Amino acid sequence: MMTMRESISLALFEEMRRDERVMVLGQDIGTNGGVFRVTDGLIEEFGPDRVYDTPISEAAIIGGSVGLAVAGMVPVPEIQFMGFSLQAFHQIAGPLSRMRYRSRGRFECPVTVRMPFGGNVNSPELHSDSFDALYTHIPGLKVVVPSTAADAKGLLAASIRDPNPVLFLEPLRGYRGIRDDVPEGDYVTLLGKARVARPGTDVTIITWGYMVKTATRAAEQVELEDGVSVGVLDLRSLCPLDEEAIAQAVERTGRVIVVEEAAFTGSFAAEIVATIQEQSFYSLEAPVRRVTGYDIPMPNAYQEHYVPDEKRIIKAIRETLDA
Amino acid sequence: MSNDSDTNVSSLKPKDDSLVRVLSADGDKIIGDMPPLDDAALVSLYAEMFRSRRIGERMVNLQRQGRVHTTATMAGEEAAIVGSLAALNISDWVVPSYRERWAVTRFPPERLLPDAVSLATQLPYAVGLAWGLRLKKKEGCVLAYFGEGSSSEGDFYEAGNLAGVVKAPMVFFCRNNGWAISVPVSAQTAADNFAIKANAFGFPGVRVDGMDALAVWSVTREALDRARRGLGPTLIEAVAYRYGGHTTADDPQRYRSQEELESWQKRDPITRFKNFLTARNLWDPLLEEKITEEANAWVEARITTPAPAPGTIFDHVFDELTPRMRRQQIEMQELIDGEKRQ
Repeated sequence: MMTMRESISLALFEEMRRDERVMVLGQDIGTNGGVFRVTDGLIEEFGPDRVYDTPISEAAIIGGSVGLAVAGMVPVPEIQFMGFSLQAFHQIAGPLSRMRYRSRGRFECPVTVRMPFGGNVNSPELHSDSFDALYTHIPGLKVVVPSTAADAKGLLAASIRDPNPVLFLEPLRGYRGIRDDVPEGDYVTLLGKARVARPGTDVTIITWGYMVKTATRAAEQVELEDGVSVGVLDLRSLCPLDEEAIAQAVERTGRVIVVEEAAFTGSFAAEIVATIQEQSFYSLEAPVRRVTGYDIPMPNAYQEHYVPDEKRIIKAIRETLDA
Repeated sequence: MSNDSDTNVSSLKPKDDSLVRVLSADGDKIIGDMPPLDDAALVSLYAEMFRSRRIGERMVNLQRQGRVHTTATMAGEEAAIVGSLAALNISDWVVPSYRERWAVTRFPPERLLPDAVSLATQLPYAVGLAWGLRLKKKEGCVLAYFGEGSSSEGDFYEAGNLAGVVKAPMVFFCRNNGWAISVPVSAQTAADNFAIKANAFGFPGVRVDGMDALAVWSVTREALDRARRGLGPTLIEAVAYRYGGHTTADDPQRYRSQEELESWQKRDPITRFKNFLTARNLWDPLLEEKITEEANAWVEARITTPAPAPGTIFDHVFDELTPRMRRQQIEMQELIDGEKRQ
C-alpha cells in the first residue's frame, strides 16, 4: 500500500531511470523536493540538470518545456497548483498543444505537465481550483486524471512515454488521502480507457479524480440504506475520452449522474451529458444529473459546501431514481 | 505620448553614437570593422536580401489579385534578417516570428521552427530549445527573432530571465522596425532603447544598424561565438524600418507620414549594399535579373503546388487520431464527397 503522492514519486524515479531524456522542472521541485514532496530525492539521484529548480515563471516553464522537447528531452514540468496554470495558459493553449500541428509533424512535444488541483484541503483560492474543462476544450492536449495510487503510477508512466503533450492532473486531496496497492516494476496504464471503479445496475456515477472516492462512498452508503445498486465509472482520461465505456454504463443502468469538482457552467460534466444524449438517448430512464461546484470562484471558506460531497451525491441518486 | 509624426521621426532616428556600423550611410565606404567575409559571401548577402524583397513584392501583388492570403513583407529589414541568418553555423537553429518568412525559405526545415503568430510566445520555447541542445550535448545555438513590439509581452521577460539563469546558448534578435502595426516605439516603451532590457536579465545587449548587413553579421557572429563558448545569451537590437504595412491588411498611411518613410529609405539596406559591392568591384549587373527570375519561379511553384486534401487538417494534432477526431474527419469527408457527386 502506498499513497498517491508516493506512487507518483515512484513513477518519476522509474521513468527517469528508464529514460535519461526524462527531466523534471518547476518551482521548488529540486532541493526542496516539491511543496508536496512529490519530487523529493530526485535531485540527489539525477542531479540538478535533470531536476531543475526554475524561476517563478509558469509561461517559461511550459514554453521552455516545449523547446526542451524539440531539442530531444522528455520534460515533465510541474505547475505548483493548477490555479497558477492560468499564468501559462497561452503557452499551453498555444505552442504546447500546437507545435506538432503547426510544424506538420516535424517536431514532437512529449511533455507531461503535472499539476495538483482540487479543494477541501484547507488551501486558499487558486491553490484549490479545478480547471479541467479549460484544457479539455483545447485540441492537441491529452488530459489525464488518476483516482487511485496504482493508476497514478501507471497513467503517469503512460503519459511520460506518450509522444503528445499530456496534462496530468493530480488530485491534491489524493496525495495523502488516497492509498492502495501499487504494482511493482514496469507498470503502464493505457490512456483513454475508463475503469469500472464499482459495478452497479440501477444508477451509474461518472466521474474522475478524487471524486471517484467520494462517489464510491456515496454509492456504498445509498446501497446500504436504500438497497439500490450504484456503479461508479472512473474516466481516468478526459481526452481521449472512453465513449464506449460511457455508452455501456448508460445502457446498463439507464440512470446517470456526472460528478465534477469544477464550477457548473461549461464544466466537462456538461460534455459528458451531451455525449450521453447523443449516443445513448434511448437508453435513458431519467434526465442525466450533474453534481458539481457552484458558479462562483473557489471560495476561501466553506469549500466543504462547494466541493461535491457524499450528501449531495446521495440526494442526486435518490432524485434520479424517483424521476 | 504624442502622436505627432515629427516627434515620432525624432524618436526613431538612429542614435549614431550608440549603433554598431560597418557601412557608411551610402554604403560606399567602410566606417567600422570589416567582417572576415570572402567575396562570394558578400555577393550572397546581397543576393539573399534582394531575393527576400522580390518574393515579398511578388506575394503582395498576388495578394492584391486575390491569389494568396494576407501576407507580411520584410522590406527595409532585409539587412537585419539576412545578415543575422548568414552568421549562423550549419548546426544552428532558427526560431522565427512571421516577419522572416521570405528569408528562411531555404533554411533546413529540421532546424527551423514554425513561425510564431502570437507575439513573443516563441521566446520561451526558443530558450527551452537552446537549453535542451546544451543538455543533449548537441552542437548548435538558437537565433530567435521578434519585433520590438513583442518586447512588451510578458513572455519576453520570462524568456529573457530564464535564458539568463540557464545560460541558454542563444541570441534574442529584436528587429526594431519602428512600428508595431500603428503604435510607434515611443508609445511601446519608456526605456531609452530595447537593448538595455538585457541588463535586467544579466546578459549583454547591443544595438546595431539594422540596415547595415555587415554590421548585423558581425554582432550576430560575436553573440553566437559567445553562446558557443558557454557564456550565455545576447540581446541584439537591430534598428531598421518597416517600409510596408504590418501586413497586406494594414494601411500605414493612416498613422505615419510619407516623409518619415522616405527618410529611412535613404539608407536602404539593399541600395547601400549595392553601392558597397560596386565600390569593391563585386557588382554583377546580371545578378538582379537572375535572382528575380529564380524568385518568381519559386513563388510560382509555391502557389501552383496542389493543396493537400481537406482531410489532412486532422493530421498531426496527435501522433494518431482519437476516436472522436476520426469520426469527425469521416463526417467532413462524407460531406465533401457528397458535394462532389452532385
